[in-house]
Amino acid sequence: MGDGKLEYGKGLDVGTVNLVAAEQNEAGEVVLRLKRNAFIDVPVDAYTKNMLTRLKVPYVVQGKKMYVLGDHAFELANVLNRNTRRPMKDGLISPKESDGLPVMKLLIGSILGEPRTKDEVCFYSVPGDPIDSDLSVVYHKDLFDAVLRALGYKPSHIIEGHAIVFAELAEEDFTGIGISCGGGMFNICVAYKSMPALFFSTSRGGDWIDNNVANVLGVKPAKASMIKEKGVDLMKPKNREEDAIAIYYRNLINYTLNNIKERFLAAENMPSFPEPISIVFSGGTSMAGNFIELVRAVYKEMEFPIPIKEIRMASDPLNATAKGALTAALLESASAAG
Amino acid sequence: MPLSALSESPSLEDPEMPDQPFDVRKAIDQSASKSTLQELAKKGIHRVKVLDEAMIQKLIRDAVENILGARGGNLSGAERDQVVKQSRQELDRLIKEFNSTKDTLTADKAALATRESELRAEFAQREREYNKRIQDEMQKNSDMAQKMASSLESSRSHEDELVKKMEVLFTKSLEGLNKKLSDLRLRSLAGGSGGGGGGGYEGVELRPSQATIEGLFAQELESNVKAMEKGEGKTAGKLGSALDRLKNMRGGGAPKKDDEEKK
Repeated sequence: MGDGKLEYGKGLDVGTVNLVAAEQNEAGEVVLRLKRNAFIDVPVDAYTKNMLTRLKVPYVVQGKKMYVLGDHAFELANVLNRNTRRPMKDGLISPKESDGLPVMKLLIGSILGEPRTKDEVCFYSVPGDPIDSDLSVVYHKDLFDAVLRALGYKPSHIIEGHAIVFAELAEEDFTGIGISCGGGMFNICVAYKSMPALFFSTSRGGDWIDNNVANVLGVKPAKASMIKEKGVDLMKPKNREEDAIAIYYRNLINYTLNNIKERFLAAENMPSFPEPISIVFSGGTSMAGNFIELVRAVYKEMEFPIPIKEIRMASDPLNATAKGALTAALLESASAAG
Repeated sequence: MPLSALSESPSLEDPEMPDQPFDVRKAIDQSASKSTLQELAKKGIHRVKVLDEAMIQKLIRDAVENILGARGGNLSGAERDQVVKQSRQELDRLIKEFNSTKDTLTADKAALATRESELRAEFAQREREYNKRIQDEMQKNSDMAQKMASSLESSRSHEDELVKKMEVLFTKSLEGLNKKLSDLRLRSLAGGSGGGGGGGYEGVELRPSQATIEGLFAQELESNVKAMEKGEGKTAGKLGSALDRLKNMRGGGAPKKDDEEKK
C-alpha cells in the first residue's frame, strides 16, 4: 500500500441516519464521504431549481414532487421547522417511503461516484437479524444489491458489527465484540479470529432515545435529537432534558449488554475465549459525551458471562463501519486477483 | 341477730345519781346508734330482730316482778333494797350483753370495709386489663387495615403493570400485523406469491423479482446531483496492518511474527 498501486474496492455504511462511503486513494489513504440519509419535499418550479443548483444544493424531481437531498434537507427542515423524510427506518428500508428508493440511489451515487474499474467490488453494511422485531433483512439486501448494480458496482454485503471488528480489532487478531450504535439499530458481532461467531441487532438506537425523550418532555423527536446532538454529558446531565436523555441512554446500554449476555448464555457452539476480550463501540449514537463511561458503569452493575479486558470507543466512531466494509472489499478484491 | 340498741348506758349503780328514778327512754337514746335499712342491706344484714322501747320496759318490769315474786309480797325495807339491788344487777347484765353484741357488729363492719376495699382494687385491676385488651384489639385492627390498604395498593399497581404489559403486547402485535400487511403489499408489488394457496406466509422470504427491482431504479429522474462533483471527501489515514493481517489469516499464508508471538 502507498506504493502508487491502486487497490480497488469500496465500502459503504448504509445507516438510518447517515450514508458513508470509503475508498482507498493511490496514496493508500482512506477517503470518506458522508451524506445524511434524508430528504425533504419542496415546491417544484424553475426558479427553485435554478436557485438550488446555484447554491450547490442537490435536488431530484420525481413526478410532481421535488426533493432536496442529504444534509441540506436536514438544514432546510430545521429552518422550516419540519421533519425530514428518511428512506430508512430501524436500520432497514422503510416500507412507508417508496419515494425514497430512487432518492437513496442518487444519494449513494453521489458519495460512491462512478466505479473506477468494471464491476468494482462494493461492500455495504447490513444489520444482523433483529432479535426484537420481525423485520426481515432479505428485502433490504435485494434492494441494495440492485442499487449498487444499477450504479455499476459488484455488490456484496458485510454484517455491520463484523465491519466494526475488521476496522477496530486488528491488534487483537479480530477477536472481540464490535458494536455499532446507529440511529435505528444497535448491531452486535462477537468474532473469533475474524470469523463472526454470533451477530444480531436490536431495533433500538438513537431514534428510540429521541422518541422516548420527546414523549416524556412533550416535544418533537427532531427537537430531542437537536438537544442530544448539541452535546450532552451522560454522566453529568445538567437539566431536565439532559436527565431524560441520560436515562434513556442508560436504559438502551443496559438493554444491549443484557441481550449480549442472554445470547451468550443461550447460544450453542460459542467459542471459548482463552483470554479476556475487548468490546468496541462505534456509530453516531455512541458519540454523546461520556458514553463509554456510562457503558462501563452499566457493565459494572451486571454479571457478564465472559471476561472483558477493555471497553473502549472506536478510533473513528462515525466512519468505522465504512472502513470495515472497505477492508472487506479490498480483501475480496485481493482474493479475486489471486 | 339481736338489735344493738343500747350501749354505754348510764349504770344503774351510778354513784352520782343513786336516788334518781331510772329513765329507760333516755338510756336507750344515749346508748343506741342509728342505721337505715339500706345501710344494713349494704352490710349484708337483711334480717333484724326489733326490740322496741315498750318491750325493754316490759323486760325490766318482768325482771323486777320475777325477783319480787320470788321474794313474796311482804318484804321488809332491807329486803326491798336487796330486791332493787338485784334488779339493777340484772339490768346491768342485760346491758353488758347488748354492748358485747355491738362490739361484734363493729368488728363485722370493719371486716366488710376491708373486703369492699379488696373488691374495689380487684375491679380496678380487671378494668385496666379489659381496657388494655381493647387497646390491643384496636391496634390489631389498625394494623390489619394498614396491611389491607397496602395489599390493595400493591394489587392496584400490579394491575397497572399488567395493563401496561398488555398494552405493549397489544401494540407489538398490532405492529407485527401492520408489518405483515406491509410485507404482503410489498410481496404483491414484487410479484411474489401471496401465500401459495391459503398457507401462512410466516417464514416465506420476500424476494422481489428482478423486474420489480429494476423497475424501481430504471426511472431516470431529473436531478442536479450528477452535475455536481462528488467532492474531495475526507482523508482518514490508512487502514494500517488490518488488511495485511486479514490477508494472512484468510489467505492461509504464514502468520506474521507478532501473530505467532501472541499465540
